[in-house]
Amino acid sequence: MTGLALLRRLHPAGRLLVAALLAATASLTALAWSLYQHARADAAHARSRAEHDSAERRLAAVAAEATRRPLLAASYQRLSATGHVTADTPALRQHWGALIRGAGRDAGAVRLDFSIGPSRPLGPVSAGAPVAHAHPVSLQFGIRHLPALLAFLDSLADRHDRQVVGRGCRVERREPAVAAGAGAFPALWAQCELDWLRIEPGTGEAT
Amino acid sequence: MRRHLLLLAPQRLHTWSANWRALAEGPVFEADEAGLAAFARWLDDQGEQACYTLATDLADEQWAVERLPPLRGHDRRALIARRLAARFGTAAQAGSLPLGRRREGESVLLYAPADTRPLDRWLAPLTDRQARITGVHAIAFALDRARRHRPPAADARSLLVSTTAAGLRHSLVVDGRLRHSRLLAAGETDGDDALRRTRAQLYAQGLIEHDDALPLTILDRAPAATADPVLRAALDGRLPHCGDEALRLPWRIARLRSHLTAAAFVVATVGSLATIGLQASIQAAAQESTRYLAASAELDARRQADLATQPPLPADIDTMTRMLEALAAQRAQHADPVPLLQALGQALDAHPAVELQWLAWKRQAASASTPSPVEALDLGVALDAVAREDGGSAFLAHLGGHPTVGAIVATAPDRNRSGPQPPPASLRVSLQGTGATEGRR
Repeated sequence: MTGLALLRRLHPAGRLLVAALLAATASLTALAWSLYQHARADAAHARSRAEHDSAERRLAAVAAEATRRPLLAASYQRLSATGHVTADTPALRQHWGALIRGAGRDAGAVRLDFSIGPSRPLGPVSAGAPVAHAHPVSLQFGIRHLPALLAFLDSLADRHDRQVVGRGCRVERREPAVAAGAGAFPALWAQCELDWLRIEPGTGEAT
Repeated sequence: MRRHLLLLAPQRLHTWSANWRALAEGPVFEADEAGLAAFARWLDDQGEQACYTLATDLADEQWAVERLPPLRGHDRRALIARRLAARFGTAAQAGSLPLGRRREGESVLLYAPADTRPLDRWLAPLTDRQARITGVHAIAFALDRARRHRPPAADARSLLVSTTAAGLRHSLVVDGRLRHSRLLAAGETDGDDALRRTRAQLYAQGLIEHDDALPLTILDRAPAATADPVLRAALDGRLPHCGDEALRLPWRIARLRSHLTAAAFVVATVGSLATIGLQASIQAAAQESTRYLAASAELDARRQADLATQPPLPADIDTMTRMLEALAAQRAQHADPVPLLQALGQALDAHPAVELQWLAWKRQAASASTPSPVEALDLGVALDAVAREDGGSAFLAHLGGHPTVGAIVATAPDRNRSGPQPPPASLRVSLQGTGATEGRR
């Protein structure tokens, strides 16, 4: 027996009740579906509003950057031009070694020995963005007198646009016999720690 | 659905049809075969949707007051049925009227007709048709209800004389509530004689004393049935039902179905309205979302246009700012104590009797967040015979006079703590920079 035939056999009041129950069920179903849609529409509305607010903030940030960005770009270009922006390669370390030896030779340092350690980032690393790094450098050498030591350190710092930062030194005067045993005149022996600064270039597109 | 009030008198059945608040008098059926047949036909004419309320106004009714323990619900109904059966032999077409509830229990007035056959005769056509009977009520209960809306009489006991379609009725009212009632027989036309009979009945049942004064209260019959308080009280459905509950089953089912139907339609209507409101709200939210997204796209386009006019950076501006600031902080830390070293060199040049033995300075490890330039220089010097004469004080005074030297702390490590001491052969000196000129670059 179909539902329609069953309905026809019902009392008129029963038919009315069935109709009312069907209407109530349909209405509640529609209401539940509407509530679901409303929740989704609310979420979509919140997302679009957040996107709009974000776009407003981004635009305001660009406006606020209008004065900072050229300064930063110029600063970065200057660093790039002075050799700060470079990848850590064996050739670079050879180049730095040559610079250290040249400065030591100019200052009259003898028995110069140095080592360049692994770099460490100077801040949070963002993917694809340039990151400043510091390479610890240890120097040991003999020097004739205090002004020569100053000249050596100044030479390293000044000649390379402050790419080298001193962290500390310990200088000792040794007995002439010890120094003479090395066949050299200097009486002051220094052990210094430096940081060689570098910017690892970014891989991302320019923004 | 139409409602009808049927008043069952000893000799006939009176009918009224209720239309909203109005009562229209209907046919009267005599209590004989012809009347019953006419009543059956009349019932057929009313249709199955009609509802009927029966009021019995019969002679020879039985009354009793019972005290019940404090009970409710099914237990109370079962106890009343047992008391009715015990009092009157049967609970059929019997009923009870609550007279008042106290903490220790309640009083109820029990009622039963002495002869149920007249009522059964009229009920048969109704039950045969499964007519919707809302209830069977004793008309005396309607009197009690109609009286309750009037101001209480000053006397504790009074005799209420009322007139209905069935005739004259005497009812004993105690403290405003019905205690006993009797419909005068058709032959009791003499008022004084009827009163004597009523008093005798009440006295015989112990409801009054022989010499009790029993003031009369006359409840006149309203000229129009609509205004008759007794008929209205009988019709309003709040009187106790006297009889089997099965009589009311068709009406209860119909009422339940009607309520369900109404509730379902209300739910459907409210749900539909809420759905319409929600859909409107969804449309509005969707339109606003679209506007927001379009505005976002426009803002992004403007941003891209603004960016195109500015020099490019390899990363976003905040990352670049942080990176360059970290680098600048490190470069600012290049703080070899050159001014202090220069001051030391000048002092050593001016005092050849003092020879530098060792020298040390150190700053903390490089950190972008805590730059810590060198502020101190430690050194050790050896003093020859000339310098020992003043304990190196001239050398220290020279150092202290330099503008980049803030403070000097000098100690002689080769000296003991007590006793006469020879001049010191060496000094350990700590120099504090003035800070402002330490970072030469």
